[in-house]
Amino acid sequence: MKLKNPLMTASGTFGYGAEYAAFTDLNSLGALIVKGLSLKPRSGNPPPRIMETAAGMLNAIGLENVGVEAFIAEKLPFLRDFDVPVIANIFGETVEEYQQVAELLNGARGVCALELNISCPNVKKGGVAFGADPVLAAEVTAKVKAVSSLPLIVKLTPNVTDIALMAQSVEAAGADVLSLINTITGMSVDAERRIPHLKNVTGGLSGPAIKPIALRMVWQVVQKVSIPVIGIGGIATASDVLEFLIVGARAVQIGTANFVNPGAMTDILAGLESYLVRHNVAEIGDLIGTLKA
Amino acid sequence: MAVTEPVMMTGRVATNREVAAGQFLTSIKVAATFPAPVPGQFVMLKAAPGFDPLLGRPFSIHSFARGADQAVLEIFYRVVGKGTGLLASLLPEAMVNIVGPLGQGFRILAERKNVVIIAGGMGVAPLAFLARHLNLTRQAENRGGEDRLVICYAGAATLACLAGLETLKACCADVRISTDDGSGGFHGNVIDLFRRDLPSYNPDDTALYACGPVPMLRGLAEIMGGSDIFCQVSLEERMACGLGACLGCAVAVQGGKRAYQRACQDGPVFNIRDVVWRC
Repeated sequence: MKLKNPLMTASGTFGYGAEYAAFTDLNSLGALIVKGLSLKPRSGNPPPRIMETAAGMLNAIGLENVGVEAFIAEKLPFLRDFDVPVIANIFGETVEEYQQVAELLNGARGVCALELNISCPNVKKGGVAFGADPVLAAEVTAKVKAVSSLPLIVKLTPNVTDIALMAQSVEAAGADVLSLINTITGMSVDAERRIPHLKNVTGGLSGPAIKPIALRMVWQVVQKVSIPVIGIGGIATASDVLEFLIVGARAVQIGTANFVNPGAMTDILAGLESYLVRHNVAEIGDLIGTLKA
Repeated sequence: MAVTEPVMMTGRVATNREVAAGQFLTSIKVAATFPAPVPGQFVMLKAAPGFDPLLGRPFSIHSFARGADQAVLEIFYRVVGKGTGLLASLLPEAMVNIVGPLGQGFRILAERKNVVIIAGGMGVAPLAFLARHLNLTRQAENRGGEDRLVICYAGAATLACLAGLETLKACCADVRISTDDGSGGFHGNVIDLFRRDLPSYNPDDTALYACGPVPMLRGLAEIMGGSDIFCQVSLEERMACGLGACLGCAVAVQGGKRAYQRACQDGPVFNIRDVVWRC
């Protein structure tokens, strides 16, 4: 898949696109990844669901979403009016549910790839339970690949001992692309009241605080796989994007930065263009994997 | 109701004033093109670039005025953490990133004879905007009689920290106050004060709007259970985006298809009877 530019919106941080249309020209995005979709609508976790931490935030949304059928019927038509590749992030509690969601998206006009969420830390069933076990991760990857007509991105969790091993496992199972990292499991406590800040107690940490960890993991994974890797984790500036590309990511996803600044995608893209001019680089792709030893 | 598309722009602090201990009134100059907010709507403000604090903070709009070359909006808040602390420390001309106006404001029932607002603590912030808006509407329609028609119940822990009392007196026909320590007005909480008057309000002729701490609003919901009075509340939740994307500001609701609605897009104003008031 050839993208206009390497900037994608990370799932769960850009709604279904319409939420940001007043602030960002959706046509300017490399790709738009929508909120994780499940077979049935999910109402998500009880609040409080979010808490800001130093240079980051914890969330335990619990995959609240409209369900894949309502997405196709009510959300996707709006996105078809834009010249932007739409990637559906999908989630299931069982392998069969992942397959059913993938099947419903076969032939959904406007959806050009799937991103398999096997890394959500905030749900009791599914999610990271698949992503933390190389055998289960490979199984769900292979089974979704078998029923889907779309390119398959597998989104990896950092909450494992060896992310490169997970990457190799899903690559062998047929993943076309990898994206990493999802949020890092974290926690925050109100010391005055001695209660967790999140009702779910733990949540996923995102934002600039996690960028060095994400970058290290992307760097480790690109050395062990031959499929493209999309870098995710705390990217907030053009310079952050470049770091990920230089260590070997082929594209990146911007997440929490969209919450901080609804014009973040546009600002980062402008920053990249300025870098290319300053460094006399013809194509941004020329920078991929150019880390000097 | 939301009437306009929100915008993002850079504003500059015009004035920043501590009106009572820990309570700040900050006015921010924005471009004249800033859309007119409806009372009850809010803005996301980020006081400084950089990552700590990271996210903007939601603030109810306390007042809005448009001039020829700029508009000025005011927010009224208590310093509770890093984000509000930073905002309170800004000097005139400091830059602030603004996204707004956001959310669903109060539903204004202009024909109702009695408009009652109940403010607990900083809950006065959006309600004073509502009262002023109603006064302006009434003057514009030139109905005659009293320009100010809003009856206000305002409560706080002490008289000294009763937020915005002068503002309320200026824009309401009657201000009835309560303090937890008895230092001013009724000795007790504002809901107990209002409860005594509740039977005197005719449901067909009354609109009630409230904002304040959750225990206060829950108390109001309990006494409104047996009443048919139209009643809306403005809720405060932690938010990351303010745009309906992060789904962080979930409010438990009843009677609809969804278990949760978003304070930022479906609210922050809700019908009091739609909210699930958990302890």
